[in-house]
Amino acid sequence: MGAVGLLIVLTLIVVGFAAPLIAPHDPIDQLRGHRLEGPSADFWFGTDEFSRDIFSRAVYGLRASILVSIFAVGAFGTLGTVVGFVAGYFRGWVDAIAMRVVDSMLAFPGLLLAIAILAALGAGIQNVALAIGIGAFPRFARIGRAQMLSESSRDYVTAARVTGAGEIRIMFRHVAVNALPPLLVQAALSMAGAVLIEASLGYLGLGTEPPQPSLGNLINGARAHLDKWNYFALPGAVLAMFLVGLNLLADATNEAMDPHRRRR
Amino acid sequence: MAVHVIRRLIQAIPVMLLASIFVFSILQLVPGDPATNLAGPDASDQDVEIIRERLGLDKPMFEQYLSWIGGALRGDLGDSFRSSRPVSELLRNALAPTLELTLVAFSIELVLGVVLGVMAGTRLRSLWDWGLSAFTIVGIAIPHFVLGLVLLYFVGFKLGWLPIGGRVPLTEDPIEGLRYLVLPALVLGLTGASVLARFVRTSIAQVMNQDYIRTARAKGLAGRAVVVRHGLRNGLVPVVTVVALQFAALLTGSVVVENVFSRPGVGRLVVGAIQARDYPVVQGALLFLVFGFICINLFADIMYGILDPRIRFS
Repeated sequence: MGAVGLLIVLTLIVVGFAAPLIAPHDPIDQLRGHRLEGPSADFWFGTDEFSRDIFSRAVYGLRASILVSIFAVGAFGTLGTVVGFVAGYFRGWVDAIAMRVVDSMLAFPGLLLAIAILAALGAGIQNVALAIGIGAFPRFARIGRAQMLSESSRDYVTAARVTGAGEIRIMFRHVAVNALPPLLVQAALSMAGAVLIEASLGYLGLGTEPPQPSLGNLINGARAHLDKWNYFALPGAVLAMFLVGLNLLADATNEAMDPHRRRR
Repeated sequence: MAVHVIRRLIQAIPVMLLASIFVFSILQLVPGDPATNLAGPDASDQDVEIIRERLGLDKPMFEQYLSWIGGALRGDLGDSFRSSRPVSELLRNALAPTLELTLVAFSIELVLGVVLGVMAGTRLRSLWDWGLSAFTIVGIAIPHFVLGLVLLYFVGFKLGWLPIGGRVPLTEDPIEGLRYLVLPALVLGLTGASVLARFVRTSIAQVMNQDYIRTARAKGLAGRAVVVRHGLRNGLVPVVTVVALQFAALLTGSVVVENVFSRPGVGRLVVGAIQARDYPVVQGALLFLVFGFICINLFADIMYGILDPRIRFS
């Protein structure tokens, strides 16, 4: 199942990045005389109320969603991990303060946190990435800290210290490598979460601002034209497929990293 | 026991404090000056100053926070910029629809999650089990708004069986109210049911491997009785916390679902207020949702300690 997930995700990522090559029309261009048409050879997903090609908008929306999620999880996941490592390594008051902040961030469910941040900063693709990233941050900090706590009492860390390795070197050259598996699992889970939140924000009208397409705001536009099944169902199917792929991948990563689950 | 409960309660205080500071600071982070925004483009400097004073925006930030949170603790969250009505009143009106939705969704989730989980968990690697895997993957992955629109299209638009949006209070007309409620609650409950079914499946599968299950079978107890009397009772203990956490997730899910089905509620209130830049309402509703979320999680934590003594002492 993991292979299926990987295949879906890779295919859609390629489609997203190759958006300018794949999309038959401009995602924002209004093609006069083609308002709210059904799927056809020329418009695979039909056209919307502004006579724009829905397929092209879906492909570009997919790209936006991928970019936002990779940036958010990559940048803030790394940041969270480093904060967690530092807190776990030095312990004491650094740890206490960092973990209280992390706890209170975890008290916010991801979507609510993102909504709160966007309420303050306003819509727009950068703010969406920031809002999703801030939500991903505490989970990585938690795991980074736990890994550091369990690894730093191991013999190989003592050995490294005896040979005169510096603190930064121990943290990143020795512990980080061994702490990787659970962080990878979290990265896979966070990617799926990020794509879902990005789409939900877009649907709520808080994400990417029209006319720029996102899968979420595209489907939001379809709410007013419920009689046109192609308008919500086809972009919705793309989004759902991407999310199914990401979830399968996350499950497979989790199983591969956890010998207890693999045996069952 | 009491120590465990008290310790958990004390631990929740700084979290709530930080969360409230965060919600409060939303208004401070908004680009531009709130008083100027509110006064509109035609206002004179004098008008802006009057508004600033009336909202207390001229005081130091710390003082503003204290008066806001002090008011919130007494149930006063200020007045809406847009309608000038008290935020607490708007929240109170939005609470019933949201509770109605989450509670019905929660019941769907519980029944579906436990039944599907037990069926798969007692028949590992059967067709049932495979079916459940497919169901949970789809249930977890598909966004509420996609599933919601698909159901609206078929059941509401094509077949015309159910209304495509809005709400009738259950207390006013239970039958009509349910007709408005069933689709949103189903959409919201399905995600949770998928998560729950997975947990129940694993938990039941583990329990069914125990010796006492074999003993029960050996002494001639019928299959169903073994599952219900021995399997369920032991298998559902670890599930209790998951259930509480899932209820918290329903609270956030309702934000999207309410907007898909045009139902009034706290989620609708938040999103509408953000779009209208009605910041007192945004703050009040977010504070309410976050505190609700924290309280449910706290309850789950305490329950877990009660059910499993090992947690209490670690």
